[in-house]
Amino acid sequence: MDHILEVTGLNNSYKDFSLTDVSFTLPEDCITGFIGVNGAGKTTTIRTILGLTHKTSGSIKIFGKDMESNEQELKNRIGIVLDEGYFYDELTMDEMKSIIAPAYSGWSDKDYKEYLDRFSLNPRQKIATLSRGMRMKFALTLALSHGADLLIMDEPTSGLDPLIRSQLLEIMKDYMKQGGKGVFFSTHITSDLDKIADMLILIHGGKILFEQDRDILLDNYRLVKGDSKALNNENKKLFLNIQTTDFGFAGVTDKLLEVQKSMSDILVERPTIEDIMLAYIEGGQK
Amino acid sequence: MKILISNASDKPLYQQIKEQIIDAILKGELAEGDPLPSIRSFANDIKVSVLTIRRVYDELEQEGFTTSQVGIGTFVSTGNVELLRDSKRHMVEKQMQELIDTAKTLNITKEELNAMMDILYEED
Amino acid sequence: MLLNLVRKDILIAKKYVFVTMLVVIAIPLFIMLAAPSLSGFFPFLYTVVISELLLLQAISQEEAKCPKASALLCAAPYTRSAVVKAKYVFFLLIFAYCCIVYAIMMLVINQQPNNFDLTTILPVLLFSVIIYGVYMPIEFKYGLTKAKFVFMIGIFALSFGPVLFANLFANITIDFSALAAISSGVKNIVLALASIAVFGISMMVSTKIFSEKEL
Repeated sequence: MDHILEVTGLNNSYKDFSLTDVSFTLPEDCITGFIGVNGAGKTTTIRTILGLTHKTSGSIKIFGKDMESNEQELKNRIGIVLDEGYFYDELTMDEMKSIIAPAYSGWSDKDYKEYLDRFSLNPRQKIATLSRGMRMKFALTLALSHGADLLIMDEPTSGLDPLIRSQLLEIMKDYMKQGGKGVFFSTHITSDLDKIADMLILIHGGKILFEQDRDILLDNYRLVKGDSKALNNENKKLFLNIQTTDFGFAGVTDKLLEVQKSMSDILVERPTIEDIMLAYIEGGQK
Repeated sequence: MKILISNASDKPLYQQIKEQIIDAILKGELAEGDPLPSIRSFANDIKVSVLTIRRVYDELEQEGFTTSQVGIGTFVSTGNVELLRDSKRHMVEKQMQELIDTAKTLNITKEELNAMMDILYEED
Repeated sequence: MLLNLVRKDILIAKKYVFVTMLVVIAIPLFIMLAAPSLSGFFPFLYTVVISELLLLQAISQEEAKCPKASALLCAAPYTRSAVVKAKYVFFLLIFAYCCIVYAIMMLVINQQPNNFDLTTILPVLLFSVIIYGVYMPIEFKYGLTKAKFVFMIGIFALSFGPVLFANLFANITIDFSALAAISSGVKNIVLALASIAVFGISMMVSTKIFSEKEL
């Protein structure tokens, strides 16, 4: 199985923010969710991968080829959906497409029209008049109409209602059915990932906190609830993070057996991705 | 084929799926030569990650239950007597595991369990 | 690739393209009809400078309204250098259009086609290339607003330039006879080479600036 995207040792330094040693790999035929809170570095990482912002060090390989030396060829195979504001607002969708399409050797007008139809978009409409959801659909249309093998999306679902979000997820699933494709999308809406992600990568403060198969993550961690009095200095260390209230504690741990030995009378549940994400983030801040 | 995965179970997801597929093969619900669903559609349908299904399929193949042909798919392997024997052994192991799980929840120790088994085994 | 980017510039400033095309016809028309003796160097100079100003400014303004659009282009297989070169090509296109229109007008209205030849075109080319060649890298580096400032100065100079120039030279007696002795052919070659040189250097500088820009 090849790696579709391989990021190694990415470092980037800005005034108030830096990416530190960001490394991860995306296996083929997987949908990878890039999660993190706002400001964690998701957009910066994606912009660096796309060459929109420069890195101080590190390498980016797509389909096994180095991005820097094969830029045009690789960008030709990447479909991009970025947060709003990347279009010329005064143009119509068709006009915008006439600018973007010629850059891609695999452009298919047939696919373009089919997606416009599927999304009920009128190509002669001005982009400035589109709602946020329609803009995203248009961006997706452009991204999917040139035979791309990798979709890179930055927060495609933020600000969208649940219906559009689920439509988008369906389209991602359909896209993957073709085989040999990959999807990399960043989000802070973890409920979308529960439904669709195969791999999860968590970034926080410019650093990668974990990179893991979704099911393994959910298999390994448990949400444990119990009496706060049962907590002591020893067993607290078994948890990634603990939250206590007057009515008990809740904590995420991957050492369930030891926890069970250390305290009885506990409730054990499978955590959600959000539980794990928050536990990692809050736990790391101690 | 029925695959039900439990979120409440302690068993890893891939293991639950793998065992249920093996079950289906042994019980004949999946006949020799039958195709298994494609990795992605299977993953979509039971709502697990593609990587999990891939692992299941890989292990099934390693253990000889299935064979896969690149570009075509994964199929239940044909004519493997030894396999059947091993798998019946597997069935016993499975039931034993269930036994042990139950015993643990009832706080029956390994020694007590062994003792019970000794008695029951001699009974035939 | 390049042509598509030029087309993009035309698309985003559609209205201004139309206006400019008219202006390029209108200015010389006006001057030729109102003051036919002036036909030649200065009207052409004005036409070129004003049309380039008008249209290129308009495009930069539209771009500034959607600053991230060029990011999308660069994330697509368009190279950053193509994005820069397209702007320079556009400059040349406008210039070429001005030449053609002016030549036609001279023929049709003035019946003095010999007044409009390389000796008129090349100095104007050099002049506008110098202004544009200085302006573009500044716009790429510092953005539209700061670059506009430079532009204002440019317009200022253009309006008062000739007068200042004349005053300056009234006090300086340089022997231009040597210059006059140089054949026009050589002069043309020098002007042409100088234009190409400034154009090329400016394009290289802009490309370098843009390749390092955060999009």
